Amino acid sequence: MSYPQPIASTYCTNSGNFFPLTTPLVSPGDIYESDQSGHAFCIGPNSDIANVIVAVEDDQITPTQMRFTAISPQRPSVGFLATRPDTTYNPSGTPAKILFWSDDIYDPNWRPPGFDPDADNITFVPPQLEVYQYFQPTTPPPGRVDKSYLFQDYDLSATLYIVVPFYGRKYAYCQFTNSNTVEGNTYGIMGVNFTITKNGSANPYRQITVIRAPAVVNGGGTTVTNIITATNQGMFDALVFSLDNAGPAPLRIRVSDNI
Amino acid sequence: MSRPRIIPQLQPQGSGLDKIGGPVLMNRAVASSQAPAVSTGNSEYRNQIFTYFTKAPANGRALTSVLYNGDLQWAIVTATLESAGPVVVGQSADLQPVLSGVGQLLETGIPLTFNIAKGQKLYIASTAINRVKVTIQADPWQEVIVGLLTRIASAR
Repeated sequence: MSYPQPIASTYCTNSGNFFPLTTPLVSPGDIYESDQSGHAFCIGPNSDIANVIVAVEDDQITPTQMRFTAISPQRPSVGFLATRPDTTYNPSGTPAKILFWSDDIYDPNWRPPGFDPDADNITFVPPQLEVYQYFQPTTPPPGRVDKSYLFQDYDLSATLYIVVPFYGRKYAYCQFTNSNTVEGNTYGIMGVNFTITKNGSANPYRQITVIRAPAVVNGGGTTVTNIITATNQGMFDALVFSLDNAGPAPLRIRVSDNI
Repeated sequence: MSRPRIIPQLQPQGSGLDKIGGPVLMNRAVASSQAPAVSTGNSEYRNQIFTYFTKAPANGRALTSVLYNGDLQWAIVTATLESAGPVVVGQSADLQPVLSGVGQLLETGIPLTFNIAKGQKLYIASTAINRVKVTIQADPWQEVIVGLLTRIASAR
C-alpha cells in the first residue's frame, strides 16, 4: 500500500468527476478508504487485482453496520453509495467511510516448493489495485486492458523465480528466447493459487499447477512459446517463471481477460 | 363627515392599453411602464455565480453553513450538486443529521431553485467535501409587483 494513500476529496475539489484509486499491494491486509460518496464503482483498466470488496455503512446490518459489495472487471457496481463519517462501524468505532480491499489473496511471502533461501532468488511483480469511484451517475465500461511484461537480463545465483500477477486472467502468451550464445537456461512455468496457511504449520498449504516442467532451453536463440488458457490450464492468482542463467534471454509475457 | 375615498388611477387617461401603474402615453419614445423601485445601489441587481465547497469537519458531524445570507429584496437561488453528496439545503440553521429530512437533499446534476425574500437565509450542510454550483440572481421586478399590490391594498 502506498503511503499516504490517495485522497478522494482532492479529486473532487480539483473538478474531477471520479476518484482513481491506484496503488500497488504490499500485503494481503491492505485496506483503503474514500471520504467521498459515489454513484458507480468499477475495477480500473490497469488493475491486476480482479476482485475488490467495497464496504459501506448500512444501519440495517447488525452488529457491524457494514455492507459488502464485490466488484470485478465483468461486474461494476452502479448505484449511489454514501460515505457516512458521521456514523461508525462496529465494534471498531471507526468513521463509516467507504472502504476498499482486495478479495484476491496476495502472499509476498510465498515460496515455491524446493526453494533454497541461501541460493535461490524470487521477485514479485507487485499486483496493482485500481478502483474507479465516480462522483456522478454513469455506467462504467467493464474490462481491463491487456498487460505485457518483458524481462531480459537476470541477477541470480542459482534459480530465479519471477512471480507475475494473473488474477482473473483467461489467457497468457509466453515467449522465451535464450539469446546466450553458449549456455543453456533451465526454464519452467507454474501457475499458483495463493492460500492462507495456519501459523506454525510445518507444511505450507499450496496450490500449484506445473504448466511447463523446468527444462533446458539451448542457447543461440532457441525460442519456446507457451499459450496458457483458462480452458486448458485453469485460472491462477499468479504465473511463476523459473530460470537458472543470467541471460540475455528475453522473456515476454502478455496477459488478457479475453481468450 | 367621512373622508373622501381615494380611488387609484387604474384606467388610462386616454386611449391605450389598460395597465397598472398610471397613465399610458402613446408616444413610443417615452417609456410608459413604471420603473423599478429605487434602490440604494447597483448591488441589488448583481448576480453572484460561484462554486461552493462544503466543509468536512474532522469529527464527522455535518457543519451547517450559510449559503445565501438573504441580503437581496428578492432572490432566485439555484444550487446544483456536481459531486456525489450527500448535501442538504434548507432554511433551518441546523440541518443535522444530513439524511434526517430537516432540509432537502441535492441530487447530482439536478438544479434546485428557490425564490427567497429578504431576510431569509439559505443554509447548507454535508458530511464530506462536495462541489455545489451556486447562482444568486436578484429578482427586481418581484419587489415592484409586491410593492404595487401593497399600495393598492393599503389604499382601499
